[in-house]
Amino acid sequence: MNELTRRQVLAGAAGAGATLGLAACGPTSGGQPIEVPVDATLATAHTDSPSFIVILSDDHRADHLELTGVAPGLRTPNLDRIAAEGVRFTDSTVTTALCSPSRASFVTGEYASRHGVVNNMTDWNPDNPTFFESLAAAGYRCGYIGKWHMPGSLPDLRGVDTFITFTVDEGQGVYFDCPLVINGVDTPRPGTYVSTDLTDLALEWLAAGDPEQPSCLVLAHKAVHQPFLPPTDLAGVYDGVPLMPTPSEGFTWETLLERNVWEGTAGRLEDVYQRYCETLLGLDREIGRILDYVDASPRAQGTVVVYTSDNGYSWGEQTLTGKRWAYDVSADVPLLVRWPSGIPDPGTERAAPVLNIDLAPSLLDMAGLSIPGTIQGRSWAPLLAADNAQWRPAVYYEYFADYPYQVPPNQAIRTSEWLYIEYDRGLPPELYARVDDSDQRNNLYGDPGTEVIVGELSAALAQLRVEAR
Amino acid sequence: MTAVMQDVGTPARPRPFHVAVPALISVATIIVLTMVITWGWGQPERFGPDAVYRAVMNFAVLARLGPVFLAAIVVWPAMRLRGASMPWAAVGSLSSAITFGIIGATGSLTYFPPAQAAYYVFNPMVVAAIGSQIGCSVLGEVYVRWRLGGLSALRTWRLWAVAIPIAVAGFTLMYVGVIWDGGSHWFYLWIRGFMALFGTGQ
Repeated sequence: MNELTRRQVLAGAAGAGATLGLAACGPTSGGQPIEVPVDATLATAHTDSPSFIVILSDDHRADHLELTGVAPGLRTPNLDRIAAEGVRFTDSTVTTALCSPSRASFVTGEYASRHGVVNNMTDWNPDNPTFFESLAAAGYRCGYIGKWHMPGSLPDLRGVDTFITFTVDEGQGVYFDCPLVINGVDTPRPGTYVSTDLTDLALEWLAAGDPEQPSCLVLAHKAVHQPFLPPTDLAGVYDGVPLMPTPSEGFTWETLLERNVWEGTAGRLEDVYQRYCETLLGLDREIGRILDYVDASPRAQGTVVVYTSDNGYSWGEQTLTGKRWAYDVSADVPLLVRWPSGIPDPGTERAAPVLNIDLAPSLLDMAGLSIPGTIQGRSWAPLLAADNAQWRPAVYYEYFADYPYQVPPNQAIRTSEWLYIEYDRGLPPELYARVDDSDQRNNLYGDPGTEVIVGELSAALAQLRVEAR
Repeated sequence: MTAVMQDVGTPARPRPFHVAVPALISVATIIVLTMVITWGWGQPERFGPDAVYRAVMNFAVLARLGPVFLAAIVVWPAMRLRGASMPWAAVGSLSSAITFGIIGATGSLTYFPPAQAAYYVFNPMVVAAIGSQIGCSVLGEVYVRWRLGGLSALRTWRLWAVAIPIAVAGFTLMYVGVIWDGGSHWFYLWIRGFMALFGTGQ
């Protein structure tokens, strides 16, 4: 690959992107890092402060980890390693199961209703505050490398010293030879596989830092988004290997149905799904490189590695292929946290329901910083020490129209027992008993005896709707 | 094209229904298969064993693509040999793709306001289907000419000068709609058009 040298990264960090010397084509619109000066009154970051590496994947459903056994032949040794050496949240979900809104929620700690990126067409508001700004003001070195994928021109991102992303294919990126925008400079990357390339750049960025200074890196992968292209050496590695069986209501060519066809999964469901798993294996390998680096670094004990995804994915459940719906399989994401010096009982699970909007306050909390009032999420940092199933009684989900995907705008409330969904148009409400019907196949709405619980959930949903704004 | 190709001998006084039957069969096939898909979608219990459900649904989804994309290769010559003029054969040959587009737009009314649902007919699948039917129509006309006039009827540069560009244009439209990078280029163009008309669709 065309590797960046440390000097080149630093040059880019200083805003001299044109000196990168990587056959750069020229400046693009936006995409510059904007460093935030350290605020002396807030500066709390010191050698003992934890560093953060947040690895954000795309479309990785929560149960697709080797350790769950859902897909017998699936291998994710490095993700399992994070779980074994840290904590796995077993009830982690996103507030909107769609790339752009969910990504905006991760960095702002706000619902889509508030940050305004309600679908994949709505521009990012450059005034949205992110956790980068708070961390940078406290003395953290911050960087963002990977998929940004929020509509509009790339923002000049405040609080980071490096902003590397891509705009090709409407910001989705491509798996091979994905051109990057490195600190505002269009940069071809011939001969690269995107997961590897981003990891290389992340390692360069980490190596360029001052070991005495805490840092926060978000490494946002394209994988495992469609078109699900694994690295060439892993293509076909699952041939003949048993993976997750197609659900009873799924079938091979459901990918061509109107509800699924725009997801970019056209083809035999089993083949496309196998590629998904192979792409995930490729991603897992890159995560292993990050873990190896951290383990060999002076800050190994004080580095928090967080792994999560922007949304889940249906592979035939409800005869759906894709995300967007409020169903568990679509909205649930893995959340793995490794922090050698901060987790007393590594290898354990937490059942407390957590959300993507909780990431921002959690990072600030672990850094010992105050949490801005704009943030709607809640820090899960205390849960790293002890579980608390009553931590959040109900989870709010919202989805906005995103043409041409055939999912009506809807809002849902999810408790440990129930999932209740109200659609703005087209479909009647749905009610599922999550304990007995974890795959949400049996809609109880309208059944005798459910009137009371529907009334209670509808009222609670109305309240959450207001609070999310 | 009409002027060049309309010199094919056709039966006198064609009966309209008789002429339209091939197109109607194709359209009816799409409608019936769509009803099967809609009825069975996500309802394996209606079919008994899962294997039956899957077999029926896979068959219905794939079989529907035949008339949607390729009907004209049969409909065009069948209509022409029953006495249809070129414009009517064109209407009949495109009717399957148009029906598919209307079914999609009607279904999307569940999810989108009427104007946005109407815009749905410009989606890559429909555009590709129309392109494919155009290309197939040309192939069908070549067959008709061969059937009625033998190889000598094909030995005229005027025929190929018209037929080849139209066929290439049609199949190119299909290629762009669903094959070239999975149709993503037309998809993004279509979505940009949507945003120009409807903003973010909220």
